[in-house]
Formats: sequence, structure tokens, C-alpha cells
Amino acid sequence: MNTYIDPAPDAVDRAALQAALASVLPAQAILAEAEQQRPYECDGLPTARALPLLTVLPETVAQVQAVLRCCSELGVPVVTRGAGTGLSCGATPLESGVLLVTSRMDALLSVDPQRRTARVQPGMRNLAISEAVAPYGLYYAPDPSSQIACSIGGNVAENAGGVHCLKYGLTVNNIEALTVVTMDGELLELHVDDEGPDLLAAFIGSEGLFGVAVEITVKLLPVPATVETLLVGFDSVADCASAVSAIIAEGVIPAGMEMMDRLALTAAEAFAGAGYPQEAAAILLIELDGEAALVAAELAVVEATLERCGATSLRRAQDAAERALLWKGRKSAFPAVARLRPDYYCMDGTIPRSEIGAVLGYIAERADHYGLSVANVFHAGDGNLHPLILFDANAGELDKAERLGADILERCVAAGGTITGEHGVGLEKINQMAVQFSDAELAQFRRLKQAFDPRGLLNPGKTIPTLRRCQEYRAILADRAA
Amino acid sequence: MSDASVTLAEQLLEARASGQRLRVCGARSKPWMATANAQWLDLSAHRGVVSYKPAELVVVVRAGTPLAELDAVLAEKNQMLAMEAPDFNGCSTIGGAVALGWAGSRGVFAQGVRDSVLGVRMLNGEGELLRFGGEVMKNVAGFDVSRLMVGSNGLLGALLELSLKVQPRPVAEITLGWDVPDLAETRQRVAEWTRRGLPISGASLEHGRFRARFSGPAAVLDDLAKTLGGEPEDGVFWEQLRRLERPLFHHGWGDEKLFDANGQICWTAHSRRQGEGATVSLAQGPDLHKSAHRSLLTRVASAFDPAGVFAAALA
Repeated sequence: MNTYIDPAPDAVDRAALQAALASVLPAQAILAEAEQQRPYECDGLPTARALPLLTVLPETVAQVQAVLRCCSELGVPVVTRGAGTGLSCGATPLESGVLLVTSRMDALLSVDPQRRTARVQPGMRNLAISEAVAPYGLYYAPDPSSQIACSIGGNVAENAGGVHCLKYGLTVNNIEALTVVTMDGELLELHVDDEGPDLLAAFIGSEGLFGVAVEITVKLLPVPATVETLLVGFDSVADCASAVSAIIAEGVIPAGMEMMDRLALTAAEAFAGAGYPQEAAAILLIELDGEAALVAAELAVVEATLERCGATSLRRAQDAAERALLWKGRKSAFPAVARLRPDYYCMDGTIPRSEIGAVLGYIAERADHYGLSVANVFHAGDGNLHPLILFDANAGELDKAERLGADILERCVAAGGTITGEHGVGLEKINQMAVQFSDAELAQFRRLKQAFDPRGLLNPGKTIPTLRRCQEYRAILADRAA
Repeated sequence: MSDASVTLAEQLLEARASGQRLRVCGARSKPWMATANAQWLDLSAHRGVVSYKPAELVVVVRAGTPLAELDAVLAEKNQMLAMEAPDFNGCSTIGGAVALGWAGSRGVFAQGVRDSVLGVRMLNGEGELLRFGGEVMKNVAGFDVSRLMVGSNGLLGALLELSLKVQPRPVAEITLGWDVPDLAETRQRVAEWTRRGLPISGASLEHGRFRARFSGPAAVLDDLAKTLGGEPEDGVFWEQLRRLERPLFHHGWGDEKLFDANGQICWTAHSRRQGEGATVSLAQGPDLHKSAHRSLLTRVASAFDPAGVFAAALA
């Protein structure tokens, strides 16, 4: 949402670049016409758009290596894109660069049911992995809301989360190894058991600034024998928020614990008809999974805690169909809320769980101040907020929406949290990096980037702001405060 | 309870100015750390729990805090670290445990050390005090330096403070024992139990004796003990293993090996002359997977420590 500053490298001879790429790629792997490239001009946050010099869709690891070697020689920057479902403009192309799309590399390479791992190509869709390994009684745990469409390569680049992170972690906790192509076209193997600093963990979530993951070994989990899903209503957001902390304080870590406020649950109900209690001020969706006796023991604790915390309604899904229906409401909440106004803007701050009530109160207050509505549907167990700011860009409300978004992120930092829990920084939150980090910390990030990509050709301008940009943004904040 | 970060930064800058190399240490409890061609940057005085929020499942602790001290603080609130980091002489520190990056007996079934690390405060080689990550469960702002530090063994700088995810202590635990022919047999059983979702939290093979630990509600464990068979064993075994206090470590068993963490960690101990104890060595450990990207590692090290103050850690 911030003004995009193209780092404007040396002018590139487009014809020379196209000729060079044509010598290493089949003709169908290069898109040069504007209308062919139009579908790739933005990711899931369409506020920043650009048409690249060329878009390439390699089909093999060797082709990815050749593309990067070629761009490296010509000094052309490269932006990597998976399925383009990202929500922070991480895959926005550069007008002066090449867009490398991994969607044609979508194969399952191998499954090792004994060790519970699968080796896949980066363009494979998140949900397709779980579908492919289902015959072995296994699945891949991280499940972003976009899991039908998003690719595992993009998940690795953004360290994507999902609704089951509370118990099973983010992408970084579920990857065993990566094969990576560096900007100079070399292959690099990163493994979770490598000696020394955890380069694998550092690569995950590096937003395309370190290299291109071309083979990904994911960890798989056994499909749980028993799953229980609860739909719980509350009279107040505060009661709902405190129930979240109370359950965890009781020693139970649910597989997922999702919260929706009235605006979100009403919209979701109208969209999905899941039977959410319309009179509730907030609801929780709680999922427990695992071995039958363990789940039964946890269920007893959770139900007693919910009663103590003032739950006004409690419904337990009786079968798989009902469970799917309860989740359908949650998973369609974003599109459901989006129907309420012409535009929406999804935030992604994370805060300590105990701050949920206070920060939601602040969000409501600031929304009133700007005259905008905010719906909240989020991963309460992780303290990962997703306020959806509703606005109408045609009515000139974009600026207000961005201001409200910045206020929310900065409040998250003040509450001891972070500007992004799972969506990444991209272009969207690059200004807020100056709020969360000191100049020395940002300089350390830049030096780490240089260790992987010395010439700064991979996804330049994203994620880590320049020193000058930080100073400018901090000056703006100081002016506002004065 | 004391904050030594300013003193440590001064010591680092002095060493940097005079070209002296430093090795970061805590309790110096790892047998292979006994000698080093450098001066120590000693973190052991930088200790104490900085904040602990049981309902948030987060503890913030200074790196020099002994594991035993941290464990005791968490146990008061019926919580623990997900990792079971080795406590080689009973005074190993949490900073050393993260720098080593071993999750021990429990870790292989639950989570690795990196899965517990939410944030760090550190000194890089330039003597700059930096903070990465934080105290929340999900945080993808900037590169993941906190987890990069896991296993870094002092190469990138000194870990000063860690925010760690903690978890509830299991209501109950049982250890069951069987005599088995070999490691393959134990692995097969563990794979089968994992597939069934059984709450296994330890698997070790010592001298033909396979011990498995399970954690969970007491009633569930009682049923498990009946269905799985095996003989009840004393759970203190795991504590002894963690502190290298099994008989093997004292007098050696020739070529015999002791396997922990479902075979991921393997110890051997060769007898010395009578009365002199045994030489303990690690035949195979989780950090011994040699990486093939030394040049990248060197560049990453320079990114944190351009002057090479901590370069001795790479040797």
C-alpha cells in the first residue's frame, strides 16, 4: 500500500535479454506481450501493479538455473512468483526486471511414508500435497486460507501459516530440506540437520530475496484418528478473548482456535449458512485432534473452561460433514466480508494473547475515527489478528484505510507484537519495518541479504527498507505525533 | 539475576580493537569445548529470567541462566521447554543449549530447538546490541535471524537473551522397557506407535534394552501400559541420559553404543585404564550432518562479524 519505489537499476536492453533467455528456454516458457503478462502484474494485494520486461515459466531446475545465470550476467533483477495469492505485494513484478513464475513446476517428486516426508516442486499447490499423500494416511499441516490455490514455493518464501499453526507450527516448522538456486545459478542444499547456523530456517520467509526454492522436502503428519470441532458463542468480545487465554492456561493446546466478531460472523453466516449464532458478539471455533483418549480428555477440560468463561452457546460437530460446514464459514469469511463494501484491506499483526481484548478495542476506536468498518476474523490462539478494513476506493477512502492499517500495525508493535504474523512484509509493510526495527538491525538484515545475493538482484526493493526510506517515514510519524 | 550486556559489549569491542579472537561460552560444559584458540567471552554472569508469562506460554531468559534454574522456574507453573536439551554437567546454560541446537530425548518426538525460539537479543561482531523476533507465536517481519542463531555455536555473535515458547507439563509419564535385538526393531515400533498417534516422548536403546517414554493423561497411559506390554521402568533414566550420568559414561563399554532420540543421537565410551573413567564421544549427533555450502556460511558469518572476532568458531 506504500508508494512503490522502483530501485531503477541500469537500463536493460530488452531485446538482448529476450534473445539470451530464448537460447536457454523453450518458446512457450517466455511471455513477452503485455496481454500475456497482464495476469501476473500483481499478487493477492492488487494495490501495487507493474508489467515486467519479460515473464518466464521454466519447467525444470536446469531452466531456472539458466534463467538466473542469464539475468545475473546481464544485471537484470528477478522477482519470483508462485500462485500469486500473497497478501503483501511480495510478488509484485519490477518494470525493469524478469518475473520468474514457478507454476509449471508442480510435480510430486517422491513420498517416503516411513520417514513421513514428501519431496515436491515449488509450484505444487498446498492442498494438492495433502491430497496426494492421503492414501498413506498422511497430510501436510500448514493450511493457509488460500490453500486450494497457493503454492508450496510461495509458502516457503513467506513462511505461511494457517488455522492449525497453534499446535503444528508455521511453514518453517514443517520443512525438512530445500534445494535452492542462487542468483548466480548455483544449486544449494539446505537441510534441517545441517551443521552450524540454521540457514534453512533463515531461507524460509526470506520473501524471494535469498534464492529460488526448486525442490522442497516437507514433513508430513499422520491424519489424526479423532477430531472434535466446537462452535462457541459469547456475549462480549472481552469474554471470548479471555476464554482463549484460559484454555491455554489449562494446559490444552488445541489444533486451532479461531475467533470472529459480530460483523465477520454475520457476513460468514449469510455466505455459508453454517449455523453460527447470530445473537453472539463473538464466536470461537476450536478444534482438538489426535488419539481418541487424548482428545476426550482435552475436550472435557475445554468444555469446563468455556462454561467458566461465560460461553453462551456451545455446539459440537457430530460428524465430518458438520465439521466441514463449521469450517466453511471460517474459511469463506474473507470473501463473505468482502461483499459488504467495494474494497477490503486485510491486516496481519500478531500480539500477545492477553492483549487481544485491548487491541480489538483500539481498532474499533480508530475505525470510528476514520468512519470505516472493521471485521475481525483471526487466529486467536496465536494472537494473530486479521482485521479486515472495509472501504470504497472510488469514494476516496483508500488513504483513510491505509492510515487505519498503519495505526493498527503500529499499535501491535507497541503491544509487544509484530507487524506481520504470516503474510510477510513485501512492499505493503515496508514503512512499518522502521517502527519495529532499529537502524542497526535493518543494516544487519541488509548484510545478511548480501551474503545470499551479493549484487542485490533478487526481489530488490521489498521487505527491507533503505536507510533513507526509514528516516523519511520516522520523520512523518514524528510530525503526526507533534 | 544480573544484566551483564554492557560489560560484554565492552569486552567485545576491546577484543575487536586489539585483534583478539573470542569464543562465546556459558558453563563450558560441552566435552569438546574444553580447548579453544581464543579468549572466552563468558556469558555465565549474564543470567536470570527476565519475564515469564505462563498464560502466554512465553519465557524470556538471559543466555547464561543454567537449564536447571530455568526448568525449576517453569515447573512451578507446571510448564516446561519442549526441548530436553543436554545438561552435560548439571550446569549447562540455556544460551549454550540454543547455540548447540540439540533437542535431546523429547525433541525428536515433539519439536526441535528452533521450534521453541521466538526471539533473541544478541551482540554481533561489531558489538551492536540487536533484537530479532519477539515474544509472539507468529512473526515474519524481516529475516528469521532468531532461528538462524540455533546451532550457530557462537559463530555469528553472542546470544544474550532468548524468548522461548514453553508448553504445559504432561499430566503423567510412564517409561516402559523391552529387550530387543537391534535399533531397527526399536525404530519399527516407534514408527508404528507414531502412526497410531500414541503420545511417545522418548526412545532409547542401551545395551539391548529398549526404553520408551509416553506422556499424557494418567488414564490414557494406564491403558497404554496394558496394551503395549513391556515392563515399567524408572523415569529417572531420561534425566541421567540428559546429564551423561549412565554407567556407560563412567566406565565405557568397549564398542557398545548408546542410542537416544530414536537413534538420532549415538554415544560411545571407551574405557581408559582402571579408575580413570571413560572417554565419551559422540559417534553421531543431530548436528553432525556436514553442510556443503561453506562459502555461503563464511559470507553469512562475515555479515554478522565482518572483523572475524568470532571466526574461531568456524574452525
